[in-house]
Amino acid sequence: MQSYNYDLVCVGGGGAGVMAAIVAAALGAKVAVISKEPAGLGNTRMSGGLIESQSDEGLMFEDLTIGGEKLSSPRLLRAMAKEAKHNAEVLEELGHIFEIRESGPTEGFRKPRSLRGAHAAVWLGQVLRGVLAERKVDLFEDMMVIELLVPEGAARGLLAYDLVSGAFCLFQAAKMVLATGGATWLFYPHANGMSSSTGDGYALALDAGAELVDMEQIQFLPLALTHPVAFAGRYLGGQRMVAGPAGVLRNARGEVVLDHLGEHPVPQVTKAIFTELKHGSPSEHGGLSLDLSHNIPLRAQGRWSPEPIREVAKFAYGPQAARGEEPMDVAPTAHTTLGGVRVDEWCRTGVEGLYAVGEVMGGLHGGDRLSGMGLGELFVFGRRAGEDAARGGVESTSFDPALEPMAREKVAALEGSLIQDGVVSSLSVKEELCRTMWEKVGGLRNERNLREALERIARWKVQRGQCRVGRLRRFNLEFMHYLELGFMLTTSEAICISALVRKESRGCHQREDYPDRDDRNWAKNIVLRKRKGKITYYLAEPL
Amino acid sequence: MRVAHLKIARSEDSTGARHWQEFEVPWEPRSSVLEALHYVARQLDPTLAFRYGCRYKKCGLCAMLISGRPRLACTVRLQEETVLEPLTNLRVIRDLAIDRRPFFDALRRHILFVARGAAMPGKPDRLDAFLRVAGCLECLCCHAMCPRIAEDVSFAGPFLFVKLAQMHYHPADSLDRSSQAKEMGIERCRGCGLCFCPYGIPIQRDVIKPFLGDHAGAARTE
Repeated sequence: MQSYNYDLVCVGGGGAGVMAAIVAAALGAKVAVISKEPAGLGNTRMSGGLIESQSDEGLMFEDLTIGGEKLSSPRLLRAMAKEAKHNAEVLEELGHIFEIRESGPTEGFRKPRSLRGAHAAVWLGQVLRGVLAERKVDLFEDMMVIELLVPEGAARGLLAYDLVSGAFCLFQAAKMVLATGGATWLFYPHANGMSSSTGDGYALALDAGAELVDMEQIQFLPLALTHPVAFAGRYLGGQRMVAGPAGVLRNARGEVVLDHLGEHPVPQVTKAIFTELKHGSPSEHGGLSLDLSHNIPLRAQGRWSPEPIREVAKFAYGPQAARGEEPMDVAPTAHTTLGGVRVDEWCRTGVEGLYAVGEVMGGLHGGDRLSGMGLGELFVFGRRAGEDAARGGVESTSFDPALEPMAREKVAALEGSLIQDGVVSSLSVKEELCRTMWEKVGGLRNERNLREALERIARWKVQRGQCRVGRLRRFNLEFMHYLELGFMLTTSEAICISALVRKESRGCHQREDYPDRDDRNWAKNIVLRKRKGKITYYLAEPL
Repeated sequence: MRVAHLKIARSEDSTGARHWQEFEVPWEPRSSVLEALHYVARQLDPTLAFRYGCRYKKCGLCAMLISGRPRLACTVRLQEETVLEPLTNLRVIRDLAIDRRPFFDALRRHILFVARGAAMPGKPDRLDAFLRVAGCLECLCCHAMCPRIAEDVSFAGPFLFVKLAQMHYHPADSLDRSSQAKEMGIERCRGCGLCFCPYGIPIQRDVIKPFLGDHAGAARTE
């Protein structure tokens, strides 16, 4: 088996992983980045490109605290508020170019300094690839991390799989950073993110002995396409911009569900749509009808424009719908995972040597993520993790002889469990899981649905053992789907357990059976960890 | 129910040995080629190797030859008959999946990142030109179409020239990218214009010609 030895390995090649890597490398550490797809992609590059960079620390801290609905870690918020101001300069130093530097009002921030990158985040992705090429960081692309190796409670390395060659690899690392992004693909097709967002990091962390926090908090954005399947979940844009002053949402019976969309806070619009989809009259595609026609006369006054409505709407629905002349079918889409791996303000998990940064990190956003924070956090905490990981000695340790037999054993067990002519398709199970997550865990939740989802997940975990993998060879997508399915099942289970435990509605977590916010009992984090192979929970004050 | 026919080039590795496999998939009025590939993988043949990511025009991973032209599968409507092949001029891993790793090595080798340093004298402020080439998705469609690449190993090809142009127009880059373009073979470009960009970057007008000294096209702003 190919073996590598590094001071620091970053799992994930998006903004957070790259930032941690280059900061550590600049401090003298020997660093590698492992990326499941080409580096510089992930949801970083797909994003709208807004980076929060404001300088009023006190105000930002307050706004984030309110936004987080008492679930955010004050330590993380203080770090964010203190260092966000450097984001613009840090990124320009790396070669990023901002196209728009003025700040209009943004959701949740009273004094935002929200800068938009050139071509949204496409140039940002190029910058990330460029800095990896420039700095002394080794890059392993098209490589999937299967398991973290944690002998005696300390994270010492990982087992990876090279998708191109089909070979397993062992990485020894004194420190590791999980920067694997989110889990929005769990709600496919109602997901607005890369197909690689299968929640790998949450599962890797749990299995390594780390904790997860508030996994029930998943942010859905209200206006996304519903069909055809290839385009379902693709985001149309912010409701104020898309719906304009006169957009109206109607159900299948033509009744008005909501108007003046731009005047309602985003979570309210999302909840109103989910409520109608569940208890009212959804369309045949599972959406509501967005009528923009009353905006058309306002166009001449400059009060609305169909331009921002994504080109994808035109491709999926046709030019008339994209111009607002015909109604569009819309439903919410999973946009980001707010909970995640529990860390301190230096991104350290409870497992020695293991860090988590970016979307996979939990405790920062609490119950809601504010505008520009998705990218904003990557560079603040990426830097902190990189700095802390490089601290306290950067000399490469000699190769730990215990790791290789450990890795070989795991590969043998994995190969032994694979059924080359199995009857079950991982891809099919993935899709069934995603459908269940959307129906039972997306939107309005209740105890019965959550328990049903957990029962199905338990069955699929068993069924996964019969999945067909085919010969282990080059670019074996069946094996990739098999691996991702494993991570998705663990992450889904964590989300469902956390949603079941939180008997209230707070932030992005809405329960029909507990519709009110209950500060007396539930202004606490729900912390998950694995004990004897099972996920258990406890409640804790935010760090 | 209407069906569409797909003819897909299958292969096990990069040696070039290929065979065709045909599939019938359901056809809906707004289906994309990517959707058809997902159907094949889900229902017909799970061994089919192909890349995808964002599902519409943001990641560039699903680029392939679609009925002979390099396009993004997520943006092309499914026709009654469609032929799918991996991008040309690239090493095939298997089926429709090509090896992208050499392009990271190329970024390093050709210093295709913003090289800070003392500002070059006479370097014009060309932010407008930068913005016109900055949206490159690295889908490699342009690279696939170039007839020169196969003939001439020292010809860098359109994609690397686009990257070079990004550095050339970037306000903080300090290297002489015009000279570098010549070293990378730009004078051997035939000007055939086959380098198609699905994202709309006008490669001949905004990358090749300016490096060749013809600034008339590039000087024209939007």
